Amino acid sequence: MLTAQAVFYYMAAASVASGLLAVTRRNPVQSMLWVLALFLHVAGIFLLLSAEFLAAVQVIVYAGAILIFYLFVVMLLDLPDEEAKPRFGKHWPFAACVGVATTLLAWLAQGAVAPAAGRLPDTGAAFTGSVAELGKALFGPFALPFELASLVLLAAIVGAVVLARKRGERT
Amino acid sequence: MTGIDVAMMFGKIGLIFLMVLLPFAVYSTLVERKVSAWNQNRYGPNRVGPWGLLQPLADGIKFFFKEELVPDGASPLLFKLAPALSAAPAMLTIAIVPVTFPVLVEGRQFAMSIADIDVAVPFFLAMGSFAVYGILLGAWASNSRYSLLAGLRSSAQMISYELAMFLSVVTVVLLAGSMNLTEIFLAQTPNATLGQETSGLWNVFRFPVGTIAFVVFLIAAFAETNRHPFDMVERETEPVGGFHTEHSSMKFALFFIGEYAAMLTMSALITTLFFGGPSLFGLVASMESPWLRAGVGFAVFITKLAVFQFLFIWVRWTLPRFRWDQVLHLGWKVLLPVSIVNLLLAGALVVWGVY
Repeated sequence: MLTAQAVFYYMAAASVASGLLAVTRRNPVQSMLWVLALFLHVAGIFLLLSAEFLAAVQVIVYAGAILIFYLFVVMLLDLPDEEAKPRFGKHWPFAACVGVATTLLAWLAQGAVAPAAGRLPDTGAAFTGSVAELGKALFGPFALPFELASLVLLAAIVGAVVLARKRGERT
Repeated sequence: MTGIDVAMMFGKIGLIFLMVLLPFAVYSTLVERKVSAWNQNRYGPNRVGPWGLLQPLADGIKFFFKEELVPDGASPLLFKLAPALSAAPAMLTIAIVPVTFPVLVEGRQFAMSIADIDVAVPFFLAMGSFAVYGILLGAWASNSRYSLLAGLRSSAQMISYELAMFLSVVTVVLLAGSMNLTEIFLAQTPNATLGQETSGLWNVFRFPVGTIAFVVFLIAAFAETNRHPFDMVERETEPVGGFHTEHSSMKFALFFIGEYAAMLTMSALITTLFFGGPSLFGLVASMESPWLRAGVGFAVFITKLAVFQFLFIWVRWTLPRFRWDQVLHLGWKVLLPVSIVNLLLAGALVVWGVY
């Protein structure tokens, strides 16, 4: 148990630290790599909660697909020019306030929403995080929200295609 | 975790490292040069040792003594980290591949992969998508336009072919009903004594879905390992030497080892997913002694592995390269639709109880 807690605190601290580093680096590519570190540590927290499938999906989707696309675009930018610009926009104090407020809200609400929050779940209890159980849950009781989420994603994809097409162009 | 667990763990790591990863990753370079020589009616390297067998050693020594150059304006840490990042995912993936039948030690069954995890397939996919970072970062950190061009091409290519590869692996998962690689290969073993009632057919012979999934996976595997005919990252006529143009000495060698380790991993996965891993039409699985079964199974597995490793090399020296737009066309407009339809078909066939 002590080992699990130590690992958890390392993962949590490293996630927060790499998140902070990601927003403060001047070089966009370095920022991206700190975001990568953040994703990997979050995947580690999922592993600790014995949600192995979620950890793998975290790496596949966020680290493997989304971040690669960001990197792809950032590498085509004029980096010296980017680095000379101010790192933060005018609205950053507002954004920081929202972040702190959300954290406080989560802190205050943790007792009300999940009484067991703050304790690591016993592995091998009700939910073992196995893929079969996850599949049954997704296509059983949670089928409607799951399908709705996929519809939202589909709408986003269609929207992206519409925006990317030039006006008046036929495909 | 008892003493046996720890001993088995180190035993398996030693076995897979010494008998699979090291010889295949190192000697593939020699085999590649020999096969290319035969294809071009030459002798190939034959000066160091008998039939040139010590050539990889000589290459290694040479690489260690080469000067290490870091180009101006390169970002030094990423430049040095990139080769390791490109070699590590391929070597990590070999940990989930079962190299032979489970063995019995003091009444307990041990699966013969280093990590016998239930999420083996997602793990492989995660490592596969992670492999892009080594190439992309190595290319960007070199501060060279040719490298960057090659790196961007490779990332676009690898992302495109990943999708088709994912879907064909999911087809196999549907056929086997499991994401554990040991269970996937046992489902292709025609012997009920191993605790499973199976048809025992290799997935590649499960016409049509298994066969189509295999073809898609094979093509995508060539693209994912950046091998011919998909070697957009280093086609000599355009981006000079590709993403590793600026890397010298052992850093270049590590990129090279990474490529061969990736080929090895892909061969191992093709063997496990589609060709029954260590099983051979029930001949091996029906052996009485579990240790004999494991030994012969290992030999069968290594043989299949070598066949596919040879296929990778054979194709490289036989087929011409695709043009860049043809690569993306094939990935998005042919392989992806084919594998989606194939997946739906596999789902329907499994539900109707055909398989």
